[in-house]
Amino acid sequence: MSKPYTDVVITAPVSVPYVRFSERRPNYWLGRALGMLSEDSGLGPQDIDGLSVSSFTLGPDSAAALTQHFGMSPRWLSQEVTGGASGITALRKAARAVQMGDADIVACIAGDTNPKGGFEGLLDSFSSDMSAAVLPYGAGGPNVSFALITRAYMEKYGAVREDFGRLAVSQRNNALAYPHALMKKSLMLNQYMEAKPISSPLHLFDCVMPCAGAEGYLVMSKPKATSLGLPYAHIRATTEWHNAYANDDVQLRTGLAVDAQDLWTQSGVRVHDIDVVATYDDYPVISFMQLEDLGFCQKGEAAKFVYEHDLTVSGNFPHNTSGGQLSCGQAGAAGGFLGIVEIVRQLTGAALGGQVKGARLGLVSGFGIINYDKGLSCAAAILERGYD
Amino acid sequence: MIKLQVCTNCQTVHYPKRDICTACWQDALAWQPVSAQGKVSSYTDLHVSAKPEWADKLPVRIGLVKLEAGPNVLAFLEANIISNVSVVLTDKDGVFTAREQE
Ligand SMILES: [Zn+2]
Repeated sequence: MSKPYTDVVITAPVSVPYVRFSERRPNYWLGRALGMLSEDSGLGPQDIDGLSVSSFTLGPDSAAALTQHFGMSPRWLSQEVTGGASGITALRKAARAVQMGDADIVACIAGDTNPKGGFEGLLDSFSSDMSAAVLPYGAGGPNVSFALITRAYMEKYGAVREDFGRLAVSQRNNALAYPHALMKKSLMLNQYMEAKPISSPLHLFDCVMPCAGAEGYLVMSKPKATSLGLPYAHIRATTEWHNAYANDDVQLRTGLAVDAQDLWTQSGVRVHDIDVVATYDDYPVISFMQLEDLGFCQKGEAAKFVYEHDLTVSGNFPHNTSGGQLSCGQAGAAGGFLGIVEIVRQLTGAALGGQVKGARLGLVSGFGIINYDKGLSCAAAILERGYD
Repeated sequence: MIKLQVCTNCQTVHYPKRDICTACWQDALAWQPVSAQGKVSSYTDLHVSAKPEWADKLPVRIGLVKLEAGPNVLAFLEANIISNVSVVLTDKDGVFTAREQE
């Protein structure tokens, strides 16, 4: 089991408001996240000695090149490649770097641009397996892979479209209070059901809207956060896996199932202690799997769990309280940061939308890199409101 | 039969294209005929494509097929094929189409 995270905290959650399309480079969106981190913390380019970058659209520029774009001279650098899991995998690395003294303050940022027609180009460069084994079949991209996963899940566990719709509808309710959500209109279950088909059984409201934007946070020692007057959250436990269950014929579980028990043991808390949850919701079935694999319910019973719980901010299982990607939009790799940024806000009493009253413990999980038949990366973290 | 990469060291069959064997890490991969038979694990009717050239061909039915030879492949499915149907694939320039086994 991993060693505890001592005296290292996550703080200064920032979101660069999303726009549907942008002709700017990702460098702009990532840079704006740094600017907002600076505004929140009072720290500038000379003060931050660690940088973690997650982006799909950087093109020729690596994280190393970005240090010059951003006028930084960090002594610690990481480029996250785990997409929807990157908010947590970035935290894991940055926290250990700070804990071991390889960096004092790490800025973790994720962002992407979205020019008109850009999503098509992104598909072509996403992965060699996607190009060879998915795109020749109608060029549906991830929608096809996730449609196959969703159908298999429904046939195996008896879930129906309404079950996924309940998740989407509750997240839209949450999003109506969150200022940066691109979806501003309420969503009713009948609207969800009647939406146009994309790749059956997926319909319009099962799919995220690609957009431009960025998210970020800082990782530093607790004394540093205290001296800067920044509200923070502690890291109780984390996990990550890549290409777990490689021999499953269809992906009905994520790597989170491998060692969820160890995650809870390391955290010292139990499932019912968690006050607020963020799962990675590129498609509702993926949130269902994370809820199951993390132990919030039995395998195959997420539909029942969602039916029996109120997933809105004021409900008995607050989940994706900013609306998730299904309502905020998916700003590329920033989608992998949306959940952790929101959880840190909730735990520091700084929600931009609905605040879960007295939230002390939060869980965030991520899922990323659909290669052709399976999503390969997953990660989770249990965070706790700051204490002295 | 369809042609896929087979490891001449351990006989593991690979798809999509690999550069080393995923089971033994040797680079002994040869394109060899393997069984074209498999079973549909899941399927979807694609209605929306990212590429304009597909617009007038949609919807198309696509399946995830577990090959008897080992790997999972995506394939176009002939009409009305659903999960758990046993199929046989034909390969045209690396694109598979599945019809129901006789
Ligand atoms: Zn081999």
